[in-house]
Amino acid sequence: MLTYIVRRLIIAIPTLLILVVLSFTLMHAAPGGPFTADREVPPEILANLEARYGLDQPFVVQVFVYLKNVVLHFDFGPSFVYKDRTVNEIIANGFPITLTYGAIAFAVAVFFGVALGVAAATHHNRWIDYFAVGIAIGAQVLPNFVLAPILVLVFTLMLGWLPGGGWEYDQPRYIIMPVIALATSFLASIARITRSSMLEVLNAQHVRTARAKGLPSHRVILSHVLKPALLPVLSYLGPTFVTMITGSVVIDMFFSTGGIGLSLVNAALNRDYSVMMGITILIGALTIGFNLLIDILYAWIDPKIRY
Amino acid sequence: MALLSVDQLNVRFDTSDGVVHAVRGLSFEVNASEVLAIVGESGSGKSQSAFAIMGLLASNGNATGSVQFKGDELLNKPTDYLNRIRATGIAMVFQDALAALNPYMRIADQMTEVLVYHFGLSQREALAQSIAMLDAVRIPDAKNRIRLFPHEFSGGMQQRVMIAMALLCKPALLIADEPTTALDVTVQAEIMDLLAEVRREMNMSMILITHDLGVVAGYSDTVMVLYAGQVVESAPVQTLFDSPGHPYTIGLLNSILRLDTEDNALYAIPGTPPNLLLRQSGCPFVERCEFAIERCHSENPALNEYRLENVTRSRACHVEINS
Repeated sequence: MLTYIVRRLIIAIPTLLILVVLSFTLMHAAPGGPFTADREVPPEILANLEARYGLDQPFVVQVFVYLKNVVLHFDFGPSFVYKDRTVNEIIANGFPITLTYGAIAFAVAVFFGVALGVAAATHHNRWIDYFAVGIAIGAQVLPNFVLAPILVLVFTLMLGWLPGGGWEYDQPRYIIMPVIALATSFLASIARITRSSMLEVLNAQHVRTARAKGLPSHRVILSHVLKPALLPVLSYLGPTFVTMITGSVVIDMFFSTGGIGLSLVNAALNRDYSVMMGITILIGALTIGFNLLIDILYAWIDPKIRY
Repeated sequence: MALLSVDQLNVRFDTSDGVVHAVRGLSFEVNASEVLAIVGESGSGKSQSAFAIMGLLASNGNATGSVQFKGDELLNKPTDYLNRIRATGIAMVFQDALAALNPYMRIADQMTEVLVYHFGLSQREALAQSIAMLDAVRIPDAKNRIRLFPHEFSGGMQQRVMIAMALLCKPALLIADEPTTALDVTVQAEIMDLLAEVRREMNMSMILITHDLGVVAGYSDTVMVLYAGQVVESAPVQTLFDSPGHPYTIGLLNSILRLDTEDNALYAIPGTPPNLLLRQSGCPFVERCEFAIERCHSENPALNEYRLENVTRSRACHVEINS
């Protein structure tokens, strides 16, 4: 097991390197640049700017300089667009915000999604099931760019209970709406996966054995059904967690939360190479990390998996 | 009073293709320390009868009739009520032990939870008793191997674990649903001997469900032959083997491979069992029966009790057979 984890971590290094080189290449292949403005910039100034950011170097040299800074100094360089900010600062500013509302939304989605799925499956084809499936489908087809303005309309403009945007770490009322808007569709997916996987496990032979042993229903569900039923949910949760904590452009836009979801999209639109690269690497590293974590959890749940 | 008495048990399943009548009008009794064998081929309703008795039918299954254990009606009773009888009164050994054991739990946890729940034992006591039971079914090094997961055992050992688990609460009746079907032939005999031995020691009753008449011979008192969800013949085991009274039983006995005769051709009953989705009016066996007469096509024979050479037995057939 330990050797497996070490091996996976070693494989993660070339994976990340490939990710960096590939996104770097793709970005440079796209026409335009960070200094392509509406107004014509004199070629001398453009040359100066490009020299300042090292864009006059050959492509391969640029890649190596970038990699060297990232690997040796953990420095993602300055932003190409915001002259006084470095990428490290932008991430240090925005990521804790997305991490906060993303992690809370994740916890909410997992807890209520699993609960809803379990309730539906254990009351299969009864009103609780239909109710839960109805909610899940409703939540799934409601995109967050529709849900977010509705929330603002109801809770800010009509009821006046919650602020329509902004971010304060110590004030939960700023967190509530971003969490609801982000969690809803994931909650629905988790509920659906949990329900169908529970229904399958409920018919498994080992569950019949557990019933034949005369164990009470809740004990059968908790110790014999839930664990195997959550395996498919678990494989969904790894990438979902990364998606949620790296934020959503919709949430950041509607609630002005200032997370990195919006930064990434703006960086892409403005050709802010360094910011894009920084956030891409962050997402890549998190994805690799959490997939590894999920695999370890899998081995812990299913004794037949040995790496 | 019989330990278990089943009266006019019907089991039907509502499927998208229609209603399947899996068991029709099944009645029998099991007395204390008696072994009843229920014999039939796949789909004859033998396992579903057992599930109906235990209240373990699938959600689209529906049972009517009466199942009484020590005078208590069990059929269609709520789970909480049945849980007082499951494991402690009636326990069950399933066919495929690997699938029937929880693959995600250590054997220790799967066994101790039964004792903790039913008898309120502490974890320590429960573990000690579980190990003792594994010893009793002769699992070597039970003290350490109880920490293993089901897939870490061989097939025969898995079935031993299954048996040990069923015996934990010393049930009065053990239902063994094809306990040896998933096993190698050499292991089959070991498991059957083990079952017979623990049954004798604990003075249990047993319902032995099998499709193998060979297994029935050495290990049961009474045999009930099921075909297409209904009983076609029921008799003490020796009587059934000596003078089978139903064409289907005769066919089954002829299909047993005998190595002590010169004739090497293996007999097979022609045709296949009827589709249980379609209810026909006549005898369910009529299409495959070599004795069939006109009446068999129109009228389903009732199960009639009769005495022959001082033995009470019953069969469902219109034709006189001299075997």
